[in-house]
Amino acid sequence: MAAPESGDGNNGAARMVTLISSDNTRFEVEAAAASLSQTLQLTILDGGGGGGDGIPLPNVDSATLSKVLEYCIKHAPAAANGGAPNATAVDRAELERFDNEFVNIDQSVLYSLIMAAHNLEIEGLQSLVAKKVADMIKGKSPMEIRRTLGFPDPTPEEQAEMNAHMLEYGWAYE
Amino acid sequence: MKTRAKKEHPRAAGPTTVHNLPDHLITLILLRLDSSATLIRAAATCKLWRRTITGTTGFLTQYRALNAPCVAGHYHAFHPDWIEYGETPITGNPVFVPSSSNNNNTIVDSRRFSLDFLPESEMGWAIADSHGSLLLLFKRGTGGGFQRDELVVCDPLTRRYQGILCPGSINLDGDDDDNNHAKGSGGVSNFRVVLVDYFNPEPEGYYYKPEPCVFSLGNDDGGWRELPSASTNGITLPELSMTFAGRVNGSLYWVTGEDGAMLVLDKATTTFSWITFPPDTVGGSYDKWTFRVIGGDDGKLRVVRMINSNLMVFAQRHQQGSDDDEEWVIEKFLRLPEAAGDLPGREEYWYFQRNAMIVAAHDKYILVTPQEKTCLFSVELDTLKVEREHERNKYPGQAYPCELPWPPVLEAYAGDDHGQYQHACCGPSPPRRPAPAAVEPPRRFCRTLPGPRAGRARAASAALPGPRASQVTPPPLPLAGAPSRPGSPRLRRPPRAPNWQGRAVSTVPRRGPEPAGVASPPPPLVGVSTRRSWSACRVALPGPPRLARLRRMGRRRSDWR
Repeated sequence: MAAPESGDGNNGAARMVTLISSDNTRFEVEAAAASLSQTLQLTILDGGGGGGDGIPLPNVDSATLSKVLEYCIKHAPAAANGGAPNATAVDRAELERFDNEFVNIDQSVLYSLIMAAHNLEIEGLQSLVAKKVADMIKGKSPMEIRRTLGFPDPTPEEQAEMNAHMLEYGWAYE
Repeated sequence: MKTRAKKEHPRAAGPTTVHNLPDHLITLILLRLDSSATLIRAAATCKLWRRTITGTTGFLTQYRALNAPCVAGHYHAFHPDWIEYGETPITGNPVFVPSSSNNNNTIVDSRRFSLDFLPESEMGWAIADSHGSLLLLFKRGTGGGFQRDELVVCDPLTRRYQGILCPGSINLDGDDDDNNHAKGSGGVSNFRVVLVDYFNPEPEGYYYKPEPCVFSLGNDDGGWRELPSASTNGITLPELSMTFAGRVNGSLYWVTGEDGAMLVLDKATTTFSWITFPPDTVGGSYDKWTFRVIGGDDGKLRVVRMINSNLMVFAQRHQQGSDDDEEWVIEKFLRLPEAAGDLPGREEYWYFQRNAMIVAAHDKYILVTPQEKTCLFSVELDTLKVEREHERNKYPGQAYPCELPWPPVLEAYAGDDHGQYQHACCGPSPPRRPAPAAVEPPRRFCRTLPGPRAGRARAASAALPGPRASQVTPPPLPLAGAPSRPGSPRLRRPPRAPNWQGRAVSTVPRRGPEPAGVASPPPPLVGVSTRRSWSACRVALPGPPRLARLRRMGRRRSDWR
């Protein structure tokens, strides 16, 4: 959590690090933002990512990474404050608004994001996306959930199981 | 730990459906579903999710930590003491009243909470306690007075139940499939019932001692077991008359008749302890009409007292500078005769010639009545508002919350999560000394009781001091504890029961202390409150001598309204 800028001698301007996506796109961001990722934070504290080296992220493609970084940049200031102690209500509301819009995206992107958030250990992003997916499930019947989330059509066997389940737990379906 | 990320999921391209996500991310998503009903639907969606929800270690535990349970409503008991002499007995099952403030979008049809799936009981079932979505019920006495007490734990929404053999019963036979119980009974397959028998060491004496034992189905060895430490734990249990005062945060409280000291049984650890309550601040008697404990908003212990028609709520406040010492202070105070002045029908009903009485105490409100029992009204604790017209005020007895079941209930995966359910209730039991309380007939309920367990149970019961089953004797009603009190004029009840035993049983639910059940003991329950609501129950089968009298007592539901 500590802001890493002063970590190894980079004074003045915020320290920048370079991240390299799986398709070899290079992203340069402030170390403070990248440090929202627990994984990257350690590397950065160790002095990695500076200069021309860059930190390779073979599991994250450029589209996803840019999205992830968008989130990190937005949340970095609040995280640097150690959460929210001196965040004002306005700041928080703004972050919330940002979050809501941020996850208003295609499902496949959501899944890529949550995977990336998981791999990079960005807890806030992980929760945000999980919440979003959970919200998509709410209030729907099992078939609607399957349809919404793009599951293949149930096999007859699955369908029978589902029906039996609904029969048994009828109260949950009202 | 940090580098791990890279190796775990080599896939560069992101997953395109939920199915491609690793299990723990699915878990993360499912943990954020908003209610147990949604969780259940999700479980129906596909096998993988079902497995995650019902089979993953700790999933439900985590889920509960993140999501407050949804109380669907309360089962109301009808207190037998309301029945007047010569009235017809109460029969029927507890009445379900849905929560008015259901903040969850899953409102379940009240008809789903019907208890019509329970095994036949001529006079219906009375509620002893609840925990989570589980109810602990006992069979009301039938016909004459003796009856076998049968305890049942059920889950109304899933319409499942599990019978419990009370200690003292013998011959359960055999065993059959041990596995069965785990299987079809879902949530009902894992719980504990704590039962406290009161027994009278001297046949004609007035005193009785609590003697707890625990029934567990899903854990341990199953069956009933006496609690060795229970009677002690360094504590000398009093040979005093005690009255069940309520349950708060997973503990049962009794108040002793003399000085207001409270005996506490922690349901989870099944150990006793004492709490003192300053006797001098208020005088008055200590019985169920005047002394109750509740949880209050913060779940902390409160004592509700009715002294000369003044309703008082005491809370413990930390004393400065001392670690444990807390002093009791009055948190609420209400003069009932004045407060009730504006109630409709006051002239007709309201005398206050004699002291008012507490009928039921809940965390949010207290149900009180003039001693003449001409009407019931509630006092909202937050606002001290007095009301008569309230669905909940129609039932003169304790109300037990019922939550929507957790999905575990769904499948029989006996996950670790169900942990401990526990119910408690108290009931009186038969007089005889070791009288084991309820006697349960050997029979086994329907789907339940797995055989092997039965075997064990038997052993357990054998160990019990009690007398045996044969006596089906039901304990005398709990009236006991309070018999004498100025209370009910009309109910004449014998003063103090000589030897009956009461029993308190409670169910402990899964994990934590939940507000769970309240107490109402089933008929047999002892001191505790006793019967519930439906109609008449004669509940408890009272034990011996008093039986007759009790029986005689009328029971007709007065018509309140």
